[in-house]
Amino acid sequence: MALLEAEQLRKRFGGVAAVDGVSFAVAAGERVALIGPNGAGKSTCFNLVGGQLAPDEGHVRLHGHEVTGTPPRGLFRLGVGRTFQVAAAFASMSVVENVQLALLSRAGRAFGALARAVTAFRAEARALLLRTGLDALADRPCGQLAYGDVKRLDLALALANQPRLLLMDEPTAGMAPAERHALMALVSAIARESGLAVLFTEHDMDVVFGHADRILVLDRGRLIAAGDAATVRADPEVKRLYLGEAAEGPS
Amino acid sequence: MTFADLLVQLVNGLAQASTLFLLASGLSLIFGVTRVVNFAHGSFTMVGLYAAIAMAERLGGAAGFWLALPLAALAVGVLGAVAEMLILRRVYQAPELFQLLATFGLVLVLKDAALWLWGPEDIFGPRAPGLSGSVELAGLAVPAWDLFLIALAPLLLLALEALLARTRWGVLVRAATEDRHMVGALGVNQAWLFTGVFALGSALAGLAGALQMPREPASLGLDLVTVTDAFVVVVIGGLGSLRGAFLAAALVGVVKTLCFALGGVEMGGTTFNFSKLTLVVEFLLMALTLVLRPWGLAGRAPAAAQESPALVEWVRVPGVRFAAGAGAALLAAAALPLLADEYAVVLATDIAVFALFAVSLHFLMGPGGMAPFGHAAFFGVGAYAAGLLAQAAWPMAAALLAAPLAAAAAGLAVGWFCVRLSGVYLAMLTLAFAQIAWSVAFQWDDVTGGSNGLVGIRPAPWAADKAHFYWLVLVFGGTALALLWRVLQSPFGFALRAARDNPRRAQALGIDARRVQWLAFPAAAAAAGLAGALFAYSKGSLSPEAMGIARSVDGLVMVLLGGLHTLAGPVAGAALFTWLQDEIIRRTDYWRLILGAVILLLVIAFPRGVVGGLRHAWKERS
Amino acid sequence: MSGETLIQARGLNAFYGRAQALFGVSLEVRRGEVVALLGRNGAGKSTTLKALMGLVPPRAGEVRIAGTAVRGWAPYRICRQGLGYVPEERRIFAGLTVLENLEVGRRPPREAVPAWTPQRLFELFPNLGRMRERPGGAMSGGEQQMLTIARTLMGNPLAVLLDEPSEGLAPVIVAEMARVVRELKAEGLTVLLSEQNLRFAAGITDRAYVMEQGAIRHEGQMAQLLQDEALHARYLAV
Repeated sequence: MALLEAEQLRKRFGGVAAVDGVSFAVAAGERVALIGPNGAGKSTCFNLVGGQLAPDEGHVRLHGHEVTGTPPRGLFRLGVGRTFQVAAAFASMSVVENVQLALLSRAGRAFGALARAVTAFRAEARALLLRTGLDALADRPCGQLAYGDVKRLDLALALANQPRLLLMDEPTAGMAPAERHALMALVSAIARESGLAVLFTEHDMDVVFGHADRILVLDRGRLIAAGDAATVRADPEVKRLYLGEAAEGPS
Repeated sequence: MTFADLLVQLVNGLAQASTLFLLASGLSLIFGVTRVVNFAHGSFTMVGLYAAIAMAERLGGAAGFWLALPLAALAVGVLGAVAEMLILRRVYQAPELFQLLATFGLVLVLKDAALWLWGPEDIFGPRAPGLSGSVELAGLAVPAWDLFLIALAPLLLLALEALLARTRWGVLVRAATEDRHMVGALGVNQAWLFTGVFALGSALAGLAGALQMPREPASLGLDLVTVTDAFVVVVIGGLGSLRGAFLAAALVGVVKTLCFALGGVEMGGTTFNFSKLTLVVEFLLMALTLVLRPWGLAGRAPAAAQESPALVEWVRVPGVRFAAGAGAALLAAAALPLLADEYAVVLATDIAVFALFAVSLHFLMGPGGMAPFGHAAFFGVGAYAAGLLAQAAWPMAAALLAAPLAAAAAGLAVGWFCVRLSGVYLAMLTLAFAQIAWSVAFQWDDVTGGSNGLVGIRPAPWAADKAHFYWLVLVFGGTALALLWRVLQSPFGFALRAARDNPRRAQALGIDARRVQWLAFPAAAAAAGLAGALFAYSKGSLSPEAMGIARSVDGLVMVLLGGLHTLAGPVAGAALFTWLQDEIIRRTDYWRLILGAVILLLVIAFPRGVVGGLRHAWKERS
Repeated sequence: MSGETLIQARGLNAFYGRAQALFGVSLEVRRGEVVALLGRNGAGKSTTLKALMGLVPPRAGEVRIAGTAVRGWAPYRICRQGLGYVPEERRIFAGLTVLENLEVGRRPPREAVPAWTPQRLFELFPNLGRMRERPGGAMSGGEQQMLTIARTLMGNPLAVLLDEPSEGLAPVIVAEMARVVRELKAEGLTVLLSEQNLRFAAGITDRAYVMEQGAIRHEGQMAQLLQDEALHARYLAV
């Protein structure tokens, strides 16, 4: 059974259908990319799955359970991690404190008002930072990090609840090419090891063709193609609407 | 009342609405472009009325009256332009609370300037030549001046809309409303654009004042009354929307006069006095609007990019050294009665009370990242709770424990509404709640004693001695401070900062950001309420002023004096402010002028607060 | 290539707060050239453009636009001096129509260059011509990107700074963007653009500066640069 199922999702904004009957599924351990021109409905689609928006029609299921319209904090409890296009963690805290707070939240202790937060889950937080290559920066104020490191921290936070589904909105936007592949390689490794399902949007076709098992192409709110890299590249409709020359480019 | 009476009241209400629209349109224009909520807007109206009366008298005759209207508007426009160039230009980059505070400094300065120029007595203006009588309308005598005002508002709306839609200046103003820096990069001198908008908005305020000549006397209290009305209208209509302001002005004007006109009404055997609602009803309308349509009737949600610069800065979690330092400071403070006279002890008691108040406000502003402009409400609820319990012969200790609970309950209720908003909207909503609380205290004579307040709130005999009471304040206040600081180090404190730093990130980590912020309200309110209760016992009496706008502003000045990024800052700010105020009031009648100047200086010279600023300078050096 | 120097920077230092972002950046762009600033994210490309425009005022060094020293000037004066700026984040005025957006950018004509009018711009950007009264907020990302360029051209600049023109755009729009830059070059306009997409830059620029850590590390003709594998690996890491 698919880990994530989206069925006939529809969302309108003031009469314009941003997402118009989109269905897809993501299996455990699978990495799926959602691509399409600007305004195709990628972000809306992504936010419908991530709980930032509720669909007008359609269903989102996680492990077969209905989660349509569940807010992000509810999805977190159900094992969904999420990273953001413009990554920004909690700037007033150090790197390790960011992760500690995420772990406290997972443990349901974020509302404790008298315990000391800095001593909680320290070892576990350090382990997560080691995994994402941020160990050396643990005590750095998060506001002083380089952008690439903020993206990594964003990933570390998303992994704090040991998610079964990871949603990444433009995971490599704003990163240097070498960093991009390193980050996606890390995500791929984690997906392989733990059976984590990954759904991501992305503009960098090298990243998409290099790191997605399957690609979904959206245009004007509809799914116009789906399949592996070769299938999508060869699709004439996709070529015309989206890829243009890049279809022939190297990857 | 007859239908005819109602109609006359309606005309009166609409005439008032017309004035409100003039006020609100200027405020809205200024906010749209500069993102500054101009507290001094009402002061410009007040100056407009004084200036118009003075000019009409000097020029004399009918021509003098009619000339005085545009001349007063022009003069106030120039005054606004000067204020913009000297003061506001320096705070455009500052967080919104600093801006509110800077313009409040201007309010104080202008009030004392008017006092100096025109004296403390109300001044009556001439009636409108040619429009002083009344007009027969459906068999009723309606004041001609009111009809003139009613006709003016829609004409002005059309003129302003045409200005914005059809002229290059209007297009630039609208563009600057969206992204002022981009407008600059496209070759537009924004400084002049801003000055121009500010001058226009101020001129409208001045005109609104001048038009009151036949309706009411010029008085020094006009500034705050006017500006709170204008705030209410602009917030109901939607900040930055002229049409919204027009609608809201009509709504507020009519509802207010209707409440007044209805008077006492029999309902289910008891008489409900609607006229007592006049002071509160506009704030109820505003609170209702903000809850149902958070950006006002015709407003739109602000673009994320336009939110004010966040006050986010890395905060080191205080450790053992901070606790040791705080303990030492408390011990040193406790030694004071052994060394100083009673006057100093009373002053130190005030300082300790306000330090607690300031820390509770800082809890919401700093870590909470919210901008409450009506924090005095919680202080007042605590103070009145203590006062009423004292009159009901509760022992002092019990009252001091119950008062924070009452304030916390108020915080829970107010917070529930407030966390649905952010930025300036949240500031305005807290102001509305504070005004509602104030109005209740002011009007509910049977319980709160109305404007006379409560008297005879005496401390227990064992604490009656000034030094003993001071130590009591230190114990209660110190415990509350320690608790608040402890909460900041807890997971909840971290979650609160997380909700401020990046609410979307917090939500995706399972943290209910809104709930966290909501729960911060009762915590801060309880501390403020305790401060209020201690204040009530230390003074022995209470008046509604305990929760007036001025008290809220005092708290903000204390916090900003100390700086937002330090835990000790609010305490230092409260000490400095309370001591300074005491010194200034003893020495001059123009204490507002000096306080206002100090505020302006502070906001412009020390945007990080004094403690924060000194610490920053120290870090820069080393 | 032999035209006068329109943009000249010498030894620019710029800071964000206390963090230094530019270290002695020097560059020049001559009339009619299209020059790229290449480098990784965070290398200082955008900051260089902002420093030239006065949006991040440089603390040291010299900036000359068409021969006039402009360091320390407000952005609006630098714009009037002849430098146009197209920001990375587009920043169109969402509540204003296409024509009104253009009106905000309008400046008086300049002697040296033919004046831009909405009519001429609609020839260059046919899409925009079909939506003159549409509010900027109701346009697609690609259309908005075109509108930002058109809006800047309304100021009749001598030279235009394009910050990451291909970032975040679908490949077909990127191709359209390349066409526009080539046409502007044919019109004689001078362009300095920052770019991470080497493929895109290669197709439209004559010359490039390669930046790393806030400083310029290399300068050369685009053709040479494309062949220098070592340079790629070190600074661009594609």
